[in-house]
Amino acid sequence: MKKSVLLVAFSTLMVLLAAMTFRGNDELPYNLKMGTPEVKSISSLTFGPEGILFIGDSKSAAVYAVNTKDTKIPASVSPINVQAIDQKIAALLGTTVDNISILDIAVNPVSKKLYLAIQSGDGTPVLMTLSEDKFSPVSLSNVEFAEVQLNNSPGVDEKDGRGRSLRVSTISDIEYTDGKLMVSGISNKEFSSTFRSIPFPFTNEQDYASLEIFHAAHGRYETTSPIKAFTTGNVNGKLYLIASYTCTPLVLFPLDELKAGTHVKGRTIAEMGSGNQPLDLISMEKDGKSYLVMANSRHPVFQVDFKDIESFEGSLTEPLADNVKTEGVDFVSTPLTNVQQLAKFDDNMMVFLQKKPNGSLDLWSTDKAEDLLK
Amino acid sequence: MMNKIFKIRLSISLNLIFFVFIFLFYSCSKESEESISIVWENDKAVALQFEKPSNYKLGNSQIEVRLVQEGNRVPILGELKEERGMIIFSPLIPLTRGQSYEVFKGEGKLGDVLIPNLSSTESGVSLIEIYPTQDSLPENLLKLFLKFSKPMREGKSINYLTLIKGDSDTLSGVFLDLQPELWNDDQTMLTVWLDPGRIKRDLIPNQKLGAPLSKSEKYKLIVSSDWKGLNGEVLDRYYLKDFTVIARDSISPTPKDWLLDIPHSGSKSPLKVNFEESLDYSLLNEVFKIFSQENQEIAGVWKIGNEEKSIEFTPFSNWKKGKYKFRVSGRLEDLVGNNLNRLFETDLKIQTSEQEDSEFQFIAFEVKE
Repeated sequence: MKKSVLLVAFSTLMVLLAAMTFRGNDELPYNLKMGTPEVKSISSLTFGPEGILFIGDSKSAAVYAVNTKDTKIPASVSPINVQAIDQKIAALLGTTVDNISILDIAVNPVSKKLYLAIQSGDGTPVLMTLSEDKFSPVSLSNVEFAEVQLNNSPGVDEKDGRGRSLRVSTISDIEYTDGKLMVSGISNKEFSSTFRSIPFPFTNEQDYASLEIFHAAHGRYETTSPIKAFTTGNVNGKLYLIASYTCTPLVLFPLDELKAGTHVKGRTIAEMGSGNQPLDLISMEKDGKSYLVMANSRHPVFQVDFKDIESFEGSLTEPLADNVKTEGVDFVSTPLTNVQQLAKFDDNMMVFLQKKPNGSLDLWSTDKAEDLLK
Repeated sequence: MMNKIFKIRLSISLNLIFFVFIFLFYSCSKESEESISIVWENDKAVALQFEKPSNYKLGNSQIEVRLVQEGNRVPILGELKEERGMIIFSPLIPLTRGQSYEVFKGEGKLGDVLIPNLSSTESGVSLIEIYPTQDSLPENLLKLFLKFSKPMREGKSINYLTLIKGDSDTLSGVFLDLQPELWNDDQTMLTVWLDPGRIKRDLIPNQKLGAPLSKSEKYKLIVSSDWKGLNGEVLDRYYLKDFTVIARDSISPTPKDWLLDIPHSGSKSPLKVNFEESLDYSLLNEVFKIFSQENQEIAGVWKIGNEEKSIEFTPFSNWKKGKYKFRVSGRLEDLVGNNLNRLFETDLKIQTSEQEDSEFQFIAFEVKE
């Protein structure tokens, strides 16, 4: 008996060893492969698990998952404070400041390194990191990567159940939550909203949840206007999608209701007023509470408690002025104006890309997120 | 006194040394400049190439390339390679036209190089067309398309567009500043949206600012000549489109009402389809197909007609006698974003039941002898 147990244990060990050996070098994590992704543009960035960086490439209508291997947990984290960041980047790239744009920023949640998507005037994309005030280019040659094509893949050109083929020409936002990569896309042709939830690791058989999201003004006029930016937030264990539209409303959807081929209606929780465009959204969690933080083209940065949003049953259509208290939902404005990009460092720290009143484009972080959120 | 003379002598000798230094430096840099060449790829300066300096070791090179500018000159990020006795420096982005760069090895300057501006023959770009081309446009117009002769620079497009109401009333906040902008694949055509929040009824921007366009008013759209091409080309002039605004369009395109001009068999005469209204230019290029009775797609060429109100199809082979189907994709839109299945905005109060959308609509026609 004892012998047979030992034999079984030994065989199991051998099988395990063999399996691990077989996995060897050719089987990379997350179904990645070695190679050089043909990234034509870097329009948005977001991090997945274990240093996997998702690169939204509008020009290729594709999202690339790249293993940065940047997974070292730092002993300590220093605050970020880079003044005139655009000038510093321009100098490092050997050009003038009018020839570069910072299209997105994202913080690797493991290493706390900041990644920047930069584009030169001629369209050349550059991926950089910022760590301890030092900028370093990130090479995308011979990396572990996987890609998902948003248009020319099997299944995508098929109708979405309502008879529409939804092609993406520009990726407006991407986010990774809970094993899924979410992508909002805009077409340069038809006026519609496309939103996809793609399981990660990517597989050959893409399970696209492509859907159109409707929202109405005053519960009356309904459109499929495209999504500009979105984020997800957790309220009482339930995951919500909160999306800002190109025609200004902020709309809430329970994520489990978003299913392919369905006519999904969201609830308008706020309108952000005339001439204002929501630029970036992030959600922060503190002491078990989720907050939405939102950068705007005209208004200062707003923050709002997700719980207030969730518990509010109606539809809000009043414009939000500074520090306005709406029916049931408090949108509190912070003193931060002209913030172009937001990134979450951790639950205690946010990063802002902000045009300062003196005209300088500064990147800075604050660990006073808690104060901002009060 | 002695002290003073010594000082003067010293300064003369220093001056001499200075002149010798200047001369040496000039001849040295002149010689080096000739040996620094620019590597071009698709009209972009993608690298600098120069002879390998003595004592050069790749990886421990001390070679630096800097942008010549006022203030701090920092080494440009890029890659150094050694190939057949030459050093090749490839920056992360192409070197900028009109800018000078200096190459250093340690403290010693190897030379300067100027990236030339585009020559006058290659520096021009023109705006080929502004769609919709007709000069009376609906009050709820949603989209404009600007088609250029070469790829254009993106990111600040809205700054180059001005809309003037009447003779002098410059309107602000009419166009949506959407980032990333909506360009086609080769970046020669831009889609511009008039602010949908102002068009969609009952939203706050619509209530506060009103729709961007008002019925019966005259407008001028001006495209500034400051807009640059992707490689720094200059727009050859400013462009102007005059138009008058007519009543809002709240009806989806209806293919069953379109008029067909059907050719005879045995010819390659075009099939003409008149929509009776202007439709979306970008979608007209891709939503139509013609099938034979046996469901074979007929190959041929499509040509959009005047003011995007019609389309012509010329087959590669002669028409055969028989029945055909003209297929229209449901995603075809008119100028205000109404497609075959739904309106830009659906009034839920008057919509009674939700209709099943159809992916395609068909118009049957018969080619006779």
